[in-house]
Amino acid sequence: MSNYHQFSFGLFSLLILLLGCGQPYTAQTTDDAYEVKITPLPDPIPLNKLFALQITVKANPGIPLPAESEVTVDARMPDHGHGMNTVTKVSKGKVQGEFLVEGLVFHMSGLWEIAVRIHRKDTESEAIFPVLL
Amino acid sequence: MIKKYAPATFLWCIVSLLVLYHYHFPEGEVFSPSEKTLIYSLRKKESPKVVLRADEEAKRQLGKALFFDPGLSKNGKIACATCHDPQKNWTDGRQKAVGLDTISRNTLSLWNVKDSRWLYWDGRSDSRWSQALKPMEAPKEMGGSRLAIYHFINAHETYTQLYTSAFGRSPKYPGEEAFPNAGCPCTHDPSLQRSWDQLNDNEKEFINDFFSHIGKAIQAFEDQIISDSSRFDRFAEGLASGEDRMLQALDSSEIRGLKLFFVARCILCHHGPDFTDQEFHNIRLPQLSNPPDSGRLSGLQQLLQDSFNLNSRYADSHQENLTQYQEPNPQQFGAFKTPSLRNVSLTAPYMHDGRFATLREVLTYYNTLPGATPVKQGDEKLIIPLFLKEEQIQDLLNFLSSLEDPNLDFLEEE
Repeated sequence: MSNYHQFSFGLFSLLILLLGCGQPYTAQTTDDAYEVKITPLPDPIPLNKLFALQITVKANPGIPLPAESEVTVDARMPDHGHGMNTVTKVSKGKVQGEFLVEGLVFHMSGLWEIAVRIHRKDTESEAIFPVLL
Repeated sequence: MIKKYAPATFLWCIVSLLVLYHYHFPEGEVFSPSEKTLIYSLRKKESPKVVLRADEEAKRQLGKALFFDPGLSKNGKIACATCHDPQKNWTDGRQKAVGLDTISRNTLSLWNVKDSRWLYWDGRSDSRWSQALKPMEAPKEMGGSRLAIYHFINAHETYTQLYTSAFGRSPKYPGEEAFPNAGCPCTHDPSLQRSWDQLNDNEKEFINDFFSHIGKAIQAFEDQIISDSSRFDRFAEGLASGEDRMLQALDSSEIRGLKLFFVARCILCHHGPDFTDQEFHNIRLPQLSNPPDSGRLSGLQQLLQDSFNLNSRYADSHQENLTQYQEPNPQQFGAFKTPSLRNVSLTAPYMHDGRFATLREVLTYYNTLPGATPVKQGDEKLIIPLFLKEEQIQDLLNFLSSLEDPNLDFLEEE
């Protein structure tokens, strides 16, 4: 496959995923302590504009639900070696285990990884959500 | 890792990709449908003509007059237009700007400044109006002060009338005042600082409000500096409409350059109608200054301390505020704003320090990255040599020339 065709293929992947994958994402944290669901606001995620994430965290048996200050979110572009130029703010929702994350901007097209981290005492649980923009 | 990822939708995506990959490039077409979509996203929509309210018109007129008035500067010889000369595409043609002294950075053009998220190469302003105020008090630029400008405006009846029409209040302090002739909260000049400290809190608040209005008037003028009718824009419209006449706006070399613009990944940072992501990148340029220019890192530190930033009470509430989500980070060291490419072939020299005299030199840098700094954490890893052939560089240069539209008609209309 020529570079040109690889590039075209990439662009089409971008377009189709933008059109077709505007759904909540759900993932387990790597240590299986939590199930994390994220919903972008707006959905799909816009290029180079502010957006937010609604996050629902479900704790597995024996694990406490996190407090607001224990959840952090950022996003990186693994292929580029950098992340967002903003720092997110997390606030607690009305229902226990729900959070609103504000201040995200994906300023470039490509593969992003949203990292939701739940901190408890000395442990950190992390769920990664790949997003192709 | 992902337990549930909308499986049905994902499957649909994969199937669609496979089908579309085989059919995405109709025979005889130069651009695939996806490329056409991308090209269309780069076109600048023509700004509609709007009838301004009387106060908006007064603000614009005041801003225009102030933009060209050297009376705002300390020596009475330097105006905004000294560095942002409309006849030089709103820049000065110099490697580095010269006001009362030489500045360490190249002057950015004002074309389409209305759509800028951050101002300056390091983004130390987050609005056009607060940017417009900084040179007025910068010792190497205009060297003035907000108190001197207060007196200057109030001494000119035309300005006081326009100010009153624009902002619904007089620029004159409503009570008795004996303000010093010059003064500002300027740590670089103790005498200006001492004069400023003579004012009480109400007086300072009045002067700060007044000063922010000066910036907002200049912003109203600068918002007219629009370039939206380049040959590229016509070509992009032609791709959408299929009109032959518009498709002829670019010649074959420029079209090859446009395709290269994607393949060489210029598009990653230079995207959107202004061909910029409005953000900051370290493109591995060798540091030429000593001490090195820290770029966005110091710019952000200044922004967060700026009493006129978007977190301040002087900000207009309708503007999207990204400043509230900013924190200085060592990885921002050496990163500079992605400049717009609109009229780029007319705004030499290039880069934050004006090190490249021609656009060809810029492309030559990207082509082989001579002297590039090693990739550090936070740098753009995708900055790698392009190894383009000479004719490809020429095609890219020709394409960039198709973004020219130096339209100054609005200056004559008023």
